[in-house]
Amino acid sequence: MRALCWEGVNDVRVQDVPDPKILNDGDLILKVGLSTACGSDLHLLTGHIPFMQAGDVIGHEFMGEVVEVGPDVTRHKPGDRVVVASFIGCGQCYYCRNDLWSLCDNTNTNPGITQALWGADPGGIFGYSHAMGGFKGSHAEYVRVPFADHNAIAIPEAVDDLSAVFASDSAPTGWMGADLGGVRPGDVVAVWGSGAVGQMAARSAQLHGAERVVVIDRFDYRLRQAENAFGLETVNYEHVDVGAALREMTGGRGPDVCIEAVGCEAHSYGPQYAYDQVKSKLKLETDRPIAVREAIHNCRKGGTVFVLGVFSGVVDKFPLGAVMNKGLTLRGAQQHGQRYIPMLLDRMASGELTTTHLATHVLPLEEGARGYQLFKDKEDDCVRAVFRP
Amino acid sequence: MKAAMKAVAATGVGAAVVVGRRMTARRRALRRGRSDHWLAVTVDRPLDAVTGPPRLPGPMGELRGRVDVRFRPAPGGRGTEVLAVPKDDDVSREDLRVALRQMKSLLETGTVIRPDTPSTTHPGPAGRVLRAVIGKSAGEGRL
Ligand SMILES: NC(=O)c1ccc[n+]([C@@H]2O[C@H](COP(=O)([O-])OP(=O)(O)OC[C@H]3O[C@@H](n4cnc5c(N)ncnc54)[C@H](O)[C@@H]3O)[C@@H](O)[C@H]2O)c1
Ligand SMILES: [Zn+2]
Ligand SMILES: [Zn+2]
Repeated sequence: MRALCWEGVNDVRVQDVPDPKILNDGDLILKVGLSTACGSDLHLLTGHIPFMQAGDVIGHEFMGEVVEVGPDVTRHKPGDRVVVASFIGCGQCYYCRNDLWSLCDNTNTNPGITQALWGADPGGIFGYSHAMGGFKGSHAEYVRVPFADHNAIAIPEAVDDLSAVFASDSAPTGWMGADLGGVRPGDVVAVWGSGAVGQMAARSAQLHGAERVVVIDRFDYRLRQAENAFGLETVNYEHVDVGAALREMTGGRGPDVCIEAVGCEAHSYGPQYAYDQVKSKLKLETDRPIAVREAIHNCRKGGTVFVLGVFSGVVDKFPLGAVMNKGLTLRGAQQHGQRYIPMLLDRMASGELTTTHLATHVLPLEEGARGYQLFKDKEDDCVRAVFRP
Repeated sequence: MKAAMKAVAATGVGAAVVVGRRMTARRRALRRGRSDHWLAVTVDRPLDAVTGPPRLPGPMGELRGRVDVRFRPAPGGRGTEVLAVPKDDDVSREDLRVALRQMKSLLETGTVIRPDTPSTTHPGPAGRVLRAVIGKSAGEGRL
């Protein structure tokens, strides 16, 4: 079959790879309908997550049609239209049973790497490096889905493919930021990043009852999407002092909840950007936490900062003093999709959560490399490149 | 393994450097003779479910007699702690670690998830080094 493979830093290519097979009795094989590039893939492309081998199939946010099921699969049959959570849960360990699916104990097949790096191994992910299990990704004609009863979720008829694909990863990630960030009615919420994840987090904050929600980015076309799709307020940090704008907006208090949806390649115009770039070139830090620092600095006393953006290792100039002295709650997580996907699909069906505007570029899989170039360089007003194998 | 870790580190990637250092530090600690602690996993099932049949499923069963095993309920009703230690040098701690993990997965899910292999047909030189690391990864870790 054809699949989009990581071939080296900033080098992805469509190749012929072996078809997937059922390996465990609970697996299913999915014929991929749509599979979208995600901001997390950019961390693989740039080499921030070094545990890749040339030829690894990437992609983890996807939907499609079931074509084969293992003997233990009870909830799905060939022909079913399903969306698949990007993190693979077993459904039966302590973490899965407590709805913390990305922390699954039983799905990372290479636990030694992340245990050495982080002190414990999170669950496996599709197409996201050998540190996260080395599972083949979804930018392919077919993909194997382990523990399919838990990880594949039927799509209601009222939800079309292009809406549903975002229920795999970006929508539940955004929802988790608002939910576990503790957004309450009346809150002011600030979201850094107006990509798919940031927009989903901001919309989720609205649906949690936040009174004002503001999205921060530098790309006007992305901020315009946030305004038009959801009526969100926006700040372009290229033109406006973010801290001053947030203080003005909140009567000097600062936002109650700050959600970071940027990640380890954050950009900025200040001297800290050059500083972080030098430090990461010298291997003195692995990630650039620019938006995290800004979120912590601007959050109100006693507020919450939720880190949705992906970080892989150590950061520098972390404002621990602000966290401690302002009494902040700092939290982060990889997404617990299985917990939210059915509810999000219902909200999509009712029209409460729209996602199709995120798919600015729907391309054949063969144009995968071009799709990633558009997405990475934010060219042609690209928000997400979505591939149709 | 150590050489492989170093080679990955030499690709200059920070996270891999950290992993390499941690794994090396662990091995040094082991050489200093701090290797006698019990390896432990928590199985998210009650004590009687873990100690009843199938007692010690998977490769743990094959190690029977060559390892000491203890069971105790986890605090707060959060399952059962299974602790094991090799009786002699016949059983490596790496093999025991793999056996404990697989036993836990079998008791919780009835299966052990299989990796997508071969993950790639052309891993390249750096990928081959990483492969060597991955080959040992199941037996490594903090457990
Ligand atoms: N926690 C999870 O489970 C999970 C799931 C999916 C994605 N993610 C992560 O979420 C992040 C966003 O993903 P995405 O797909 O929306 O990516 P994206 O690249 O489309 O969007 C990131 C946005 O952040 C903006 N940005 C960069 N620096 C900024 C700064 N200093 N201040 C404000 N905005 C800034 C960029 O201009 C861009 O619009 C990534 O780090 C991704 O890895 C996490
Ligand atoms: Zn993602
Ligand atoms: Zn699990």
